[in-house]
Amino acid sequence: MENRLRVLRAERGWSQAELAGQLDVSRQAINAIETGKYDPSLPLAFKVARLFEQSIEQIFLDGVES
Amino acid sequence: MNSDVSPRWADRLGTGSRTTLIIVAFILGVFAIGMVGGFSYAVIEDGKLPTKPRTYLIFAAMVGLVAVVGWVLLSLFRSIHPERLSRFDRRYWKMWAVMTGLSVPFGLGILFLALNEDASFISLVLSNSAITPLTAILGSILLSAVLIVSMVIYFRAIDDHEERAYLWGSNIAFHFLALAFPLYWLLARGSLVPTLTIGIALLIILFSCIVQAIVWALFKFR
Repeated sequence: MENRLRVLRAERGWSQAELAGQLDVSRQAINAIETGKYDPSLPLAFKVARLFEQSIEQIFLDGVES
Repeated sequence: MNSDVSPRWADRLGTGSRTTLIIVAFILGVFAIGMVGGFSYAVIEDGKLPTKPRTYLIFAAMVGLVAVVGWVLLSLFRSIHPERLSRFDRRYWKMWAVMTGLSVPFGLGILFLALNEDASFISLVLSNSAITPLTAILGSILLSAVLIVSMVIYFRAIDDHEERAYLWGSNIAFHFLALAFPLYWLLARGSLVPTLTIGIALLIILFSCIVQAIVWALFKFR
């Protein structure tokens, strides 16, 4: 699943390690999400959405036209 | 990021004091680890426990010294790089430290069980020889307790990403077992491999653990 995590993180000037610290996960988890190798669980997706003050759909893109 | 890191004793030291302390702690650590290793090796070689209480006191003091040196070096590292470890990282590395700490009494437990059997450490662990019911019961309790406690500690410390890596590893390892045993059974019936023994079964289980570790690492670090 594609996502805008790398863009949102870059906009705030955060490193992967800093974002990982704020979400209480490992740096590998952030890297895996950004490269699309791992889709986060729903609780983690909500955490990401709360941190960036956006909805889950605005961050994670399922590629289906609505 | 580090506002929750409270000041520690190591933060008040200057560069010279820190360097001196690191060198002294390193030397003491190597000495203590050497003593503990030497004691364990001597006991294994002898095949019996020492009789003098003084030996146990020295052994306990050396184990304590290893722990103190580890704590000093960790405190110094944290004072030099307070920004390096996030809350998650601290919890994660604390978990590995506890797991390593658990393996020491586990290893010592097996060593004492081997001495109880009047057998060497290697022959108790790797052979299929008969053991007394007491050793069997104590060994089972030790193995179960360490495995269960380790799992609880591990799953409380990891994140969602690593949990998925672990579960995929377990899943593939299970299917490896589910395939390996019937395959071996078929090959044994065709006299292509030796008859399945408990030793071969344990070897297949060991391979499944290796498969689990490889898949876990692939999912965690890819």
